Amino acid sequence: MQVAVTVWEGRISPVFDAARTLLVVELVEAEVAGRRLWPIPVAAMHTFLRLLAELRVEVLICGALCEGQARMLESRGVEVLSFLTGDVDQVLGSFAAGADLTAYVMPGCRRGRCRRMPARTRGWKVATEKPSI
Amino acid sequence: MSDRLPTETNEIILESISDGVFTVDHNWRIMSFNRAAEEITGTPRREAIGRYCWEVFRSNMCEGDCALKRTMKEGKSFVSTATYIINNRQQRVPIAVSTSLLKNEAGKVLGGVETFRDHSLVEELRRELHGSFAMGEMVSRSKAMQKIFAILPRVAESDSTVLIEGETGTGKELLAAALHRLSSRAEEPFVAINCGALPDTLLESELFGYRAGAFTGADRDRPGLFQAASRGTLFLDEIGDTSAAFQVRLLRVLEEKEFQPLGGVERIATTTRILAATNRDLAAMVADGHFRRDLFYRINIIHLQLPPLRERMEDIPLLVDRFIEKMNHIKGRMVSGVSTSAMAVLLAHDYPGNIRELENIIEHGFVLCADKEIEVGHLPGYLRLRQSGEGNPAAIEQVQQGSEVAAIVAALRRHHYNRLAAAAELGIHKSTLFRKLKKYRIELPEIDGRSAR
Repeated sequence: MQVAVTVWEGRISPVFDAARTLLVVELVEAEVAGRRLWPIPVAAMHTFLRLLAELRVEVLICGALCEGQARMLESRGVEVLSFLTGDVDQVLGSFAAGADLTAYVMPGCRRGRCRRMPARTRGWKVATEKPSI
Repeated sequence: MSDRLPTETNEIILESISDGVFTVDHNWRIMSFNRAAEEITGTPRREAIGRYCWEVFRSNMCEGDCALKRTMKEGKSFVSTATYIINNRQQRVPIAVSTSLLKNEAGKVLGGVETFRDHSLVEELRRELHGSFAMGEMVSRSKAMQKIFAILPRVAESDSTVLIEGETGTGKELLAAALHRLSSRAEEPFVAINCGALPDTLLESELFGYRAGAFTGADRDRPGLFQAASRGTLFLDEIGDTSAAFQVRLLRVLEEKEFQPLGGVERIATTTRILAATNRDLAAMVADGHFRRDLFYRINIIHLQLPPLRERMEDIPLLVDRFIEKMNHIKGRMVSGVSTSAMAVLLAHDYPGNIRELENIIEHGFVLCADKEIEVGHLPGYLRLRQSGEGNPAAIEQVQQGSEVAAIVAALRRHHYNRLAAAAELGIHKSTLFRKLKKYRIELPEIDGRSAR
């Protein structure tokens, strides 16, 4: 499975719009089998979508992302894990292991805020914290 | 009594203001976060404190052009930088950011302060303001255009035939479309045809349709644009370029409200509204005998004159914004505008191609611009050459114009003053040829090449 992450200084890029580098990793049986960096076409969404399609990216891990862009990505069959933050290798490691990613969710985004919940079809979990009573 | 306010009072003030305020330490960790900051970002203070500022603030400046980073590095404050953040409802929030150093009483730098103001309302008002300068797809704040906008709803309601005059590229079709949308026929079709682009027989078959067997290849009935438009609007562009024979047929349709398909015997009633347009001076053509007087009076019930762009230069910033907005939408980009120097170049040009030329210039800039703003270097070369004064542009222009006039006159003579044929030989559209004839004041003889056919 090809997984893409917008990266900035070894971390997940804070805002998708401003991200300039894309790390694409190949996950084989919960292990990172290959990784490559790609420059992100400057602010051209359609070129970015074409790049993801050419690289056969199934999942995009990124920082803050507005709803319109999330819909565009999802309409092209890309599953989006947005509003995540932290060290890229740690996030990828947790993702590959199918671990809970709640610890990497940006502040203010717990309890289902910031994004619609992605389909959890591959065993990974994100932001499942329930509202406290 | 001390002049200083107690710390608690400062905190109350910070909590009361509508500007978001947060402070960071040297490691970019948030130390304080006021109530307005919570509201604008959607992040509660308890979640924000201790986190990296970019995780909470989520501005498009964070990664590449952080104002706070520049302040910390250069020791300078920055005021009202326009940007946007993404809040916890996945919305882009336009904001204005100011930054400064955070110092203690001894002057020691403790970190940085960022204040930011939600500009959503300002943006909304700006859009509304632009809306008041808009009519359909057109935008303008020029007096001439505002006068047209003001009467347009009444003209649309009147159902009368309208003649729109204006140079090529001034937006005649957009005006016609706006008239249609404002009229009671808005739900019906709007059909446009360029009459100057087709020879007579083809134009007639396009407009009136034909019956099977009307001519070789007509193996079945085909309805024309009058039927396609039905109870809607038919826009006849370049009406001044039609032949005398066609003008007679069109006049009959307009007067009798019925037409006859080619090869047919029956007459079909029509209620289609006619809007006509030309880039030529129809009244002068009537005076010269090049356009039928009766048709002219039939279509010239309401006359709208679109000014060329050089007479409404105040619209250029508005039009530039509109084109950038449109192209951002189409191309999925985030170009914010043109730089001040690029705008100066745009305002110095005289736009012989009018709004269409301006749109092409912006599209050119859009292709070359890889960043947020279109700069002078992204504009077409001919604009920059003129601006920089390279190679004595006045002299170059004079030489260019001289050879252009000579080429046009020679082509016209070779084709016995048939404008269409001359334009084809010169490799330009005939409307461009007409514009150049007018610009260089080239007098043509009474004969029209088409009458020699």
